[in-house]
Amino acid sequence: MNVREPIERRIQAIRIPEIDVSEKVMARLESRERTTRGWGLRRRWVLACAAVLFVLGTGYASATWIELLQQDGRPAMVVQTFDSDNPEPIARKLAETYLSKIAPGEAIAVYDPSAGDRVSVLEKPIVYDRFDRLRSAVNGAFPLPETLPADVSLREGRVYHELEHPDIGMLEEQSRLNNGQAAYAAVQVKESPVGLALILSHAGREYSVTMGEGRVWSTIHTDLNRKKETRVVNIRGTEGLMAISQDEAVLHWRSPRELGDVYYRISTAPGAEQLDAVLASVLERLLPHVE
Amino acid sequence: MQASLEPYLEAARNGDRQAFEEVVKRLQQPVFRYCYPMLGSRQDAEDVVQETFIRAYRHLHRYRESGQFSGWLFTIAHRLCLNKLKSRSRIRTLMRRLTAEGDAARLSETAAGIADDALAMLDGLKPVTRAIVVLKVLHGLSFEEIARICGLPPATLRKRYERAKKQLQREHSIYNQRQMERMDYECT
Repeated sequence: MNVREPIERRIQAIRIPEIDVSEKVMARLESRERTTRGWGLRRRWVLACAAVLFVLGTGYASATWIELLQQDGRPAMVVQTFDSDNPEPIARKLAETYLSKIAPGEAIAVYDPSAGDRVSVLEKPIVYDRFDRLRSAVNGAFPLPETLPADVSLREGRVYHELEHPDIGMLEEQSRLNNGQAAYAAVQVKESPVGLALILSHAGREYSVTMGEGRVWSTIHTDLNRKKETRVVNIRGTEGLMAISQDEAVLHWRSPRELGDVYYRISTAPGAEQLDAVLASVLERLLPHVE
Repeated sequence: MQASLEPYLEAARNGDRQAFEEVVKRLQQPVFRYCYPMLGSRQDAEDVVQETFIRAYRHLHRYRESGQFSGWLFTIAHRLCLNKLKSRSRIRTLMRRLTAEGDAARLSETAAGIADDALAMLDGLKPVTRAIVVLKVLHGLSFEEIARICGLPPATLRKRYERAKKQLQREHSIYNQRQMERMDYECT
């Protein structure tokens, strides 16, 4: 051993093993992408299921993509058919089965391989029967009138919240260990509201109203082939979509920024005359007044 | 190497996984050659190499601005090594080294002695100083190139490097002295 060897030579003599981590890197990248895709689906589910009434049972005739415009010509929202990235939600009955496992104010993540390769996240919100309490729970996150007009009454109101990210890998593993059975896990409910669902009574009819953040709901995925009739309507200069099927009539509308940028879905049973005007009048009763 | 790497990087930026795998294959050993002496553990170094390429893939679009891809990779690896060093105790490092992971067993006794000695000496340096020494001595980078990786001015790096060399030389002398004493003892 040469004890007078310069220090650089000794460092250069460090034997560096040969490695090959390329397969591991590529496998990890693949795995991360799967997780991201899962999160993408889950995120859509957080939103879709947070306001499950948004999309269940909706659809449009003979169209795959409809763009609605604001008064100044800018896009207000897009309505399009479900696709592989934005699949049709799980059936309402199945969702209710999952929700029966949790208490009001809680949320659950479900991975059921038999219902498709996706993770559903469902919140079971507290039900309010008084508008002032509902308004207080919303805490200013959505523009609501101070009181409902005298000719409108609240039957039920629910506030949906942002939910924690579920551990998708753990759910998949749990399902795998149980021979492909559905796997469940509690999901933490955050404080920030992301949606509202109201059932209102007005002039002898019942209306279902769902509200969500406009920027999140700028694109609505639905089944465009199930409606008997669709038409573009104009409310306060911004286009909306009326879609009528055998079961219900629905108005989709996104308010411009000065009205809070909120996505509204208002539905009622079909059969009334001048459905466009009826649904628009319910919407008007919920919109903030602008001087 | 950089010139021939460009088409693969361009393809990888457009989502071509095979192209990125080729980039990993070509650059994993140089990155490991930085991480291994920094961390003194093959397993930890391999983990950091993997994480380096994963982060690089996720942020490939940023590389356009930085110019030299390997330098950019070293910057990522450098930060990850510093994080790793922060998160583990020095005792664990020594324990790992004592267990002579993997290839150490394949080295001849003399070579292993030199390698372990040099790794142990590097371990006595502060992490950033160690990085300077490794990049300078094992990778032959200029102080300007090291400055881009470590985020310190070249003049500061030069001073730290000279001080580190003196410290290492002192430790080296002590080590040599002990070796001489040991040899004397074995001879008598």
